[in-house]
Amino acid sequence: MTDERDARGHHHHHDHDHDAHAPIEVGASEYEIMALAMRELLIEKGYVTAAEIRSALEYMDSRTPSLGAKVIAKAWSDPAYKKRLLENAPAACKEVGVDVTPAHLVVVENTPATHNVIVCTLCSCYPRSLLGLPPDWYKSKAYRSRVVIEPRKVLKEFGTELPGDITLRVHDSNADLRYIVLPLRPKGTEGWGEEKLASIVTRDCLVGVTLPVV
Amino acid sequence: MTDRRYHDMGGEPAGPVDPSTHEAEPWQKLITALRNALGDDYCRVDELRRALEDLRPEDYDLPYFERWAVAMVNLFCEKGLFSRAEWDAKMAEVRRKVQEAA
Repeated sequence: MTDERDARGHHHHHDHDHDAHAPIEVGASEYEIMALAMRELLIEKGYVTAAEIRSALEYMDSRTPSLGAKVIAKAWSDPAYKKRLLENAPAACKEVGVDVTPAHLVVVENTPATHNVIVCTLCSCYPRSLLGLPPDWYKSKAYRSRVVIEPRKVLKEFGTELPGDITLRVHDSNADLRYIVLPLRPKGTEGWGEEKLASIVTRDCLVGVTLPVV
Repeated sequence: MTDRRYHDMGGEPAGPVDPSTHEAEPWQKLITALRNALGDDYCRVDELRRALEDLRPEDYDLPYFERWAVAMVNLFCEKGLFSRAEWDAKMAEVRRKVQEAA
């Protein structure tokens, strides 16, 4: 095996289209080769089929932050829905056709006095059902280590400055319990429909590192 | 002092956060899809978490999907889904095919 450290911090930027199921990729790194080898061996051994892998890839591609945005826009528009969402998030998500599996989900609500941020210090647990794959920084040592002791400083690194009198609450997720932030509905959105509201709800404001911008 | 394990990094000093992101590459998605497709039958979330936590610090410091790849292979060999010898042979085969295609 080649020195694994050769691959550290190694990033490819491909600007051509890929077939995710292509068996071989020219110029593949050691880890790409590992992924392809695992796929082949697990199929050969009969633990999984190519169709199951394809279907897992399709499911993954169907999970995007637009699902989270849809849920939040509805909560902003419908106080009864918001109440249900805060009480039982998986059930409320199911109402709008979003299955939250398998970990439990809790929605934490921002108020004028409190701002919420989510992290997973131990690994990188993330509300994938509603937001898709976590961004690189969410999984980074820097974010995982620091956001629980100096959240204001970390938020500044995202360009977010909160007034000093706002309480910051950092929620540490785990394998069985995920969080998502319900941001405050910004001023200037009066009379907006759910679709327009959803357009300002970004992934980062559902993690709590930014605020929705009108 | 407590015997904190390497992955338990909440509150430790660290450098600035780089907020830039990029789309996951096909092989990175494949790693995640393999875990999901194997599911609870062959690769439970908690098993994988334990395998990640058991990595040596130098492997834990690998980028995320690279770390997952190493932990998954360790876990599958540990559980006997395949042997280390079968794994080494498959890696050699795939590496050879990649080199031939290059």
